[in-house]
Amino acid sequence: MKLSRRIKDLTATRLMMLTTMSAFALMIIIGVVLAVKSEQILSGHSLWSLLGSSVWKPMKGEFGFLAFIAGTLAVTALAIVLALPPALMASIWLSEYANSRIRSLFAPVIDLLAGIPPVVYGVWGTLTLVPLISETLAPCFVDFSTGYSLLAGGIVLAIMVIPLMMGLFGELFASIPRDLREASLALGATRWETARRVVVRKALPGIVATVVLAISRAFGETIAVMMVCGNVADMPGSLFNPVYPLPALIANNYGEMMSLPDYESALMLAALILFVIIIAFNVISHAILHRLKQRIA
Amino acid sequence: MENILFEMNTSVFVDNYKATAPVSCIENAALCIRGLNVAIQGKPILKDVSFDVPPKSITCIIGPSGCGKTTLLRSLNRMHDYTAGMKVTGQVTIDGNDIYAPGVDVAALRRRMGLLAQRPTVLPMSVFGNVAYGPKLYGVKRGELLRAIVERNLKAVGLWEEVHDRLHSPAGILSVGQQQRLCLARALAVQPAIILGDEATSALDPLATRTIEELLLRLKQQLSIVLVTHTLRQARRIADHVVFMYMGEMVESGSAQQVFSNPVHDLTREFVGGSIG
Amino acid sequence: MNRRFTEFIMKGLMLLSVATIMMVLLYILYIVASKGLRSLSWEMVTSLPTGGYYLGKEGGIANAIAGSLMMIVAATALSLIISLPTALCINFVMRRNGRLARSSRFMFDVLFGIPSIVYGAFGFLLMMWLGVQASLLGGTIAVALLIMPIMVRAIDEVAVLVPSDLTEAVFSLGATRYEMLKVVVRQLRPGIVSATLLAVGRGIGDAATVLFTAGYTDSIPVTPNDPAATLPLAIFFQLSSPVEEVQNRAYAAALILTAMILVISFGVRALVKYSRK
Repeated sequence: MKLSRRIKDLTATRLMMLTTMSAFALMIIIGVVLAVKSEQILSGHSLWSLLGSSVWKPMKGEFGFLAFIAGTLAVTALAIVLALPPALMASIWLSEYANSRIRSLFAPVIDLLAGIPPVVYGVWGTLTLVPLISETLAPCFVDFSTGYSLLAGGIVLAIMVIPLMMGLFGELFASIPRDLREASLALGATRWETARRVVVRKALPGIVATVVLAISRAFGETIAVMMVCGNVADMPGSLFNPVYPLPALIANNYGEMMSLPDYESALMLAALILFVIIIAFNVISHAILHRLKQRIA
Repeated sequence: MENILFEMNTSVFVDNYKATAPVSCIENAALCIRGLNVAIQGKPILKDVSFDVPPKSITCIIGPSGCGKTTLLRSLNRMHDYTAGMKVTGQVTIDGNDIYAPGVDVAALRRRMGLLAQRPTVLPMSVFGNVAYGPKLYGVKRGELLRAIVERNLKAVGLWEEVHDRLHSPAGILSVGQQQRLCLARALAVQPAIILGDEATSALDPLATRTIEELLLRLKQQLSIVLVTHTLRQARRIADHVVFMYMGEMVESGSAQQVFSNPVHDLTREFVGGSIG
Repeated sequence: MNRRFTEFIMKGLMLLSVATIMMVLLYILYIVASKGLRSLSWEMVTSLPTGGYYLGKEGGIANAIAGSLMMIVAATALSLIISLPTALCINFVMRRNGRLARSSRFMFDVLFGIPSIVYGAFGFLLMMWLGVQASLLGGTIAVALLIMPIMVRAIDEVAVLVPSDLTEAVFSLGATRYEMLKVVVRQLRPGIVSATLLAVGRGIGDAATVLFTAGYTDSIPVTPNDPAATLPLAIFFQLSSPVEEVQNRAYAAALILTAMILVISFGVRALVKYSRK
C-alpha cells in the first residue's frame, strides 16, 4: 500500500477519535468549571444550609436554594402530569385507530410544533394563558392571582413537550410489528385491549425513554417558563402562586450581579445543580431502561 | 384430559341479531365459504372462492406463492378489517351465521378461531402471561383457575415439562420451536373451535416442525384446523382435505387422497406433480 | 358488554385528547400568526430599530434577523466540523456496539439533556477566560455547544442503519478506513443534511444560550467581536416593553422565527421522503 494512503488513513482516524474524546472532555470540563466557580459560595456556606433553606437574600449573604429547586420540580412535575396522558392517548389513537391518510396529515403538524421555539410558546402564554388564569380561573379558587403562576408555567411546558412526546411515541408504535397486534386480536382482544396490553407494553422501554427526555427538556427549560411563572422566590404553595425555577434564576440575574462575587458563585452553583441532576437522572433512567428491556424481551 | 372450562358466552352475535342462513353446505361444516372476493385498492386478490371446512379434520390450503392462500386465511377471521383499501365480499359462515354480516362482535368471533402465524408471535410478557392473556380478557381473575388453565394448555402442547420452572421468565427466551408451541397453547386457552395456521412451521427446524405436526394431528380430534402450507410434503403428511388455489381462484378441493392421487383439474395435477409452483 | 363499553369510552377519551391537543396547538399558531401579520411589513424586516430598542418606536428587526442568521450559520458550521467525524467515529472507527461506542452514545444522550441555560453560563465563563466580550463570536460558540450533541445523535441515527455489508464490500476492494468513510458519507448525505437542518431549527430559536453570550444591539454586527441581536431575544426583550410599537416588533419577530421553523421542518420532511426513494 502506498505510504501516503496509510498516512491519510491514520491521521483521519486519529483526528476522529480526538473529536469524539474532546466531546467526552467537554462534559467533564463543564462539570469542573461549574464546580470551581461554585467553590466560593460552598466555602462560605455549608451545602446543607444552601440546599435546605428557602431564604434568598443575596444582599445579606443568605443563599437558600430550596424554593428554586422546589419550584423547578413542581413546574416539571405539573407539566408531565398534564402532558403524558393526552399525548399517550392521542398517539395510540393515531397509530392504532386512525387510517394512514389521517396519520400522514398529523405527522408534519406535530413535527412543526415540536420545532417551534420556547420563546414563541412563552409569548402565547403571556398573551392568552396568564390573563385567562388571572381573570377567569383563579377567582374561582383564590382571592387574587396575577396569572403569572405555577399553573401557567406547567401548562406552557406541557404544551411544549406534547409534540415532542407525540413525535417519539408515533415512531415507537410504528416500529411494533403488526404480527403482535394480530396475535392479540386473534385471541379475541378488542383494539383498546390490544393497544394497552400489547402495544403499550412492548413499547414501554421507549415510552419511559421518551418521558425521561421530556422531563429533561421541561426541567431545563428557561425562557418559556420564565415568561409566565412570576419569578418570586417562595416555596410553591398553590397552583395560582408564582414560582421561581432554577433556570429562570440564572437567566434573570446572571451578568448583572458581577459586583457581588458570592452572588455570581451562587448562580454558578445553580447551574451546577441543574447539571448534576440531569446527569443523575440520565444514569438512573439508563439503568431502569436496561432492566425493563430485559424483563419485557 | 380433565376439562377445566371457564364460563363464557360463545355467541358471536350481538343482541338478538341473526344472519340469514347460508346456501347449502356440508353437514356440520366448521366453516362454509361461499363466493368470497377480496380486493385491495380495486385489484382483486381472491376471486369467487367457495369451499367447506369439514369438522374435526385438517384442511390444507396449497398453491404456488402469491396465489392468495394467506389472504384467504386472513379473511376467515376478519383480519383484513384494519387494512386500508381492503374490500371483502361474499359469505363465510360459522355455525350457520355469516361472519361478515353487520352487527357481528368481531372480537368474540376471533376468539373462536385461534391463529398460528408464520413466525411465533409471543406477546411481550412472561410464558404464563402469554397463555393467560386470553382467559384474562374474558374475565378469569382467580389465580388458581388461571394457573390450572395455563398448566392444562401447556401440557396439551407438551411444553409443560420444558418450561414449568420458568413460567415467569419472558417468553422471548424460549427457542423458536418452543415459542410456536407456546402460541398454540395460547390459542387453545380461549377454547377455539377452529385453528388457523399460516405456514405455521416455515420458521422451524425439521424436528420442531414434526412436533407441531404431531400436535395438530392430535388436536384434530377436538377441533377443526385450516392450514396454509408452503410445502406439499407437509400437506401429504397431515391433510385430510386439500384446497388448491391458483392465481386467486379456488381450482379444486376435496379429500387429500383424491386431490393427490386423482386430481380432477390439469393445473392441480401439474402442481401436485411438481411441474408448477 | 362491559368490554365493549370500555372500548367505547377509551376511544372517546382518545378522540378527545386528539381534538384538545390539536385545538390548543392550532390556537397557538393562530395567535402568533394574527398578532404577527398585523405588525409585519417590508419595513419591519429591512430596517434597524431607532431611538433605543426598548422605547424607540421607529424601525424594525433587521438587526435581529441578520444577527440570528449569521450566528446560526457560523455555529452550525463549527458544530458540523466536530459532530460529523464524531458520529462516524462512533459507528465506523470504534467497534460497532462495543463498550466504547455504547458509552459514547450514552454521553451524548447526557449532553443532549443538559439545559441550554447551562450551556449559556458555561459559554459565558469560557468567553471570560478567553477574554472575549459578549459578541457574535461568543454567541456562536455557545450555540455550537448546544447543537453539537443534537447533530451527533441525528447523524448517528442514520449511520447505524448503514449495513456492515457495505463497509465490508468497500474494504474487500482494498480501501483504507478513510476511503471507506468517504463512500459512507456519500451514502449518508441526506441524513447529514436533515441532521443539520434539525440543529439549525433548535439553535436559531434558543434564547437561553445567547442571553449572556451574544449581547444585544440595534445594529448589524460587522466583526465577530461586535455584539449581535438575535430573534429569540428580540422577542423576549421587546415583548415586555410598555410601548406598543416595540411590542409589535416582538410579534413580528415571533412570526418570522416560526415561519423559519416551518420552512426547516418541511425541508427535513421532504428530504427524508426523497432519500427513502
